[in-house]
Amino acid sequence: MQHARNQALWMMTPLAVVVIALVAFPTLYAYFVSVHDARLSGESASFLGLNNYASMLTNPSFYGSIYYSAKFALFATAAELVVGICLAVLFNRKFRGKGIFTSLLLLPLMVAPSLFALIFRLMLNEFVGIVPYYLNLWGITVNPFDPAWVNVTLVAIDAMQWIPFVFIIVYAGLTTIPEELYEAARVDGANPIQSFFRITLPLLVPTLTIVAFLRAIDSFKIYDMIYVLTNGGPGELTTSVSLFIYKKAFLEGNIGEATAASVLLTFLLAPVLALSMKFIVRRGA
Amino acid sequence: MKVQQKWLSMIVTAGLVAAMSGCTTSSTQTPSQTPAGGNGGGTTKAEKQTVTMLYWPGPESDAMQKVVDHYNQSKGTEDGVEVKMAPAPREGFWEKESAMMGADNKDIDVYFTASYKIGEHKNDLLPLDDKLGDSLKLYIGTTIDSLKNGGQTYAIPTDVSNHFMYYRKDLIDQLLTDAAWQATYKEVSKKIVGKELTPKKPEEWNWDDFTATAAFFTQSVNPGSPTQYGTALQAKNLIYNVMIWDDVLYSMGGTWYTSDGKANFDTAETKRALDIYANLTKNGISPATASTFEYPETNQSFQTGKTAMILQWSAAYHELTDQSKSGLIFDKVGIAPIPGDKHATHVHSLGVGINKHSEKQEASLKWLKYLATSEAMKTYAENGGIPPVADVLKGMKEQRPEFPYIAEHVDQYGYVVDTSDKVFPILEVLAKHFSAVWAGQADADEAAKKAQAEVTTLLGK
Repeated sequence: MQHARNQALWMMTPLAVVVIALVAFPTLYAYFVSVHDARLSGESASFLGLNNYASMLTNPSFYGSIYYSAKFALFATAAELVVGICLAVLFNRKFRGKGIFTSLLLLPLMVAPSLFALIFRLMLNEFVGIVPYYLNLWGITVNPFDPAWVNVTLVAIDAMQWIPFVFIIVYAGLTTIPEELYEAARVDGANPIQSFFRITLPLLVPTLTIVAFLRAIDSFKIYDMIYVLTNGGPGELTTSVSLFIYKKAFLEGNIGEATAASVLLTFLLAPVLALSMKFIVRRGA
Repeated sequence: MKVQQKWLSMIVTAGLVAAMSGCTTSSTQTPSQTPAGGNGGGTTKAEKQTVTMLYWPGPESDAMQKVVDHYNQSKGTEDGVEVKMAPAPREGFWEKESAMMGADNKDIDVYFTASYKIGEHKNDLLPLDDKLGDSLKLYIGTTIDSLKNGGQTYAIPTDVSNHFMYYRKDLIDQLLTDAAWQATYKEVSKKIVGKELTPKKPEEWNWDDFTATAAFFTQSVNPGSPTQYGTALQAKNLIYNVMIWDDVLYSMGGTWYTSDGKANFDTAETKRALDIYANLTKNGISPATASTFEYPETNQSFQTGKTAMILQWSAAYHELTDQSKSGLIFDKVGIAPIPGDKHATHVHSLGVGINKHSEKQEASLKWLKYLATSEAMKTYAENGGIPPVADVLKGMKEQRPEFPYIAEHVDQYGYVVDTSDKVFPILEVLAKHFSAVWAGQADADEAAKKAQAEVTTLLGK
């Protein structure tokens, strides 16, 4: 018995080392850095206590960036869910060329987000872009980066990349719904819309919850696309919290404040994540 | 804190050095075999010292490799020094270099640096004034200033960047000779800048002339304009775009700092300079999409014949006059100073300095002494570099027509805004507040006040 326990401990050691090295140490180190005047230039950093936290908590740009990320996550996730579900329902039948269309639909998932943004930076370019070219031919002169439209543009680009993710998960969920339920509904006189809202959607809730959770987290962290397309501007109109922290760390060189912002963000998101996880686990159970 | 930072930095450095050792040609001697602190001068070939120079990849490193090869085959043999280039990816280069510096790295002997990094790097670089003496006089004075901090020069400049106003020669020539165009120009200038102006040569323009001419070449203001827009500002929230806007500020007599080093943004000059950009956007003279423009988009606007003039980096000349890249306008590109009653161009340099922690400082100094010669700088220029040496630049007029302009503008109109370690944070504050004004989203007065307050906090004054 003792031998088996020792063996188990030895077997767990590599994992424990990895967890300590890659999770525990960086986390503790982040707390350490966040209470020091740490600079990118590597000058010796003095202890500041909670000054970095106070500085972040009194910085309107920090709150503005969190609000922006939350708003972006909400709209992007909603758009991705609606279109993703529609596409999944549309594809959940037999039709000619289904395999090819499905593969084409999944293509955006294979592209790195920064590259995807670069493609749109070129496509939307007023002088060499294909989109303004055709819009002009039809007499439409909408500026997708006008401050009034820029957020719609960003959400749309994010949605174009991640709708396939929602689609594929929801599609997988749809295939698990027994056909007999639809047959019974048809016999009872339900039309397709009633079947969707009374059968499909309720049975998809666990799947949708997980998809929404993953997409919300991912879009809250939005960084690369905004960095490439607007860099947070004009002004701070499109500054997400990830971009705010990046700029604080690597442009302002203030690693201490950037780390404090990250720690605060963790505390802010922890209850939301805990509640979401509780909900998901309960639904899953 | 410093200790922990060093440990982390050393891990990054070890990875980078391991990667570099796979990329670079193997030297005849490893650092551990090299006598520490020895100068290698007058020694036999077996005692030749290898100096490792960190450099970023791209046209600069291609040009520098030729200089290195030439040195290794000639003067290097006499000096007992062999220089080895150590490339690191351009993406995240500065962060990696900072990590190496933070670890007091000894594997790199010569660091790559820049005007906007010298304030951060100075603690890890040797002051060169006493060591290089008159050799520093080879360079255009402004570029040496751009690598100084606290009165000490920490690097020698290898490449210089400044701004030009690029304009369509064919259009401006017609404007200067066509009576009908001149009559329209008067009407447009009256409408946009509130004065009846007459067209002038681009070298004589102030901001009213620039605005009026740009308006004249904007179809929404003047339907007869051959171009859609007069100009295309680089108005994205980006620190490099602030460097271009700084030209407007400095041409109006504005500055970042007061004479006693305090923030100087809540001024009439700042507001006027912001209004110049804001009015160009408001009147549709610069496209509304310019709020996402940086270097390539502004070039594209000019290359596609959609704009009549742009404010752009000197490096763009090569691209704009290349027939394969700019078929529509390559033979119509004119260069003029940045407009203003006092012409002003931002100047920054890339350069190299000696690692304070290197064990081969003497050998590194021999390499830098060679680099600070007309011969080395000429080789560098012939292979694609832009060394800030007036004679070299002027002597290459045939191969690189823009070089004499660079020498002239950097010397006559060049200014160095700041070389402290605060330059990036300040640029970031300015980009954040001023890009909103450029896009017509914020008031100039309010933005100037916010910038003043935040920069004052950053400076601690």
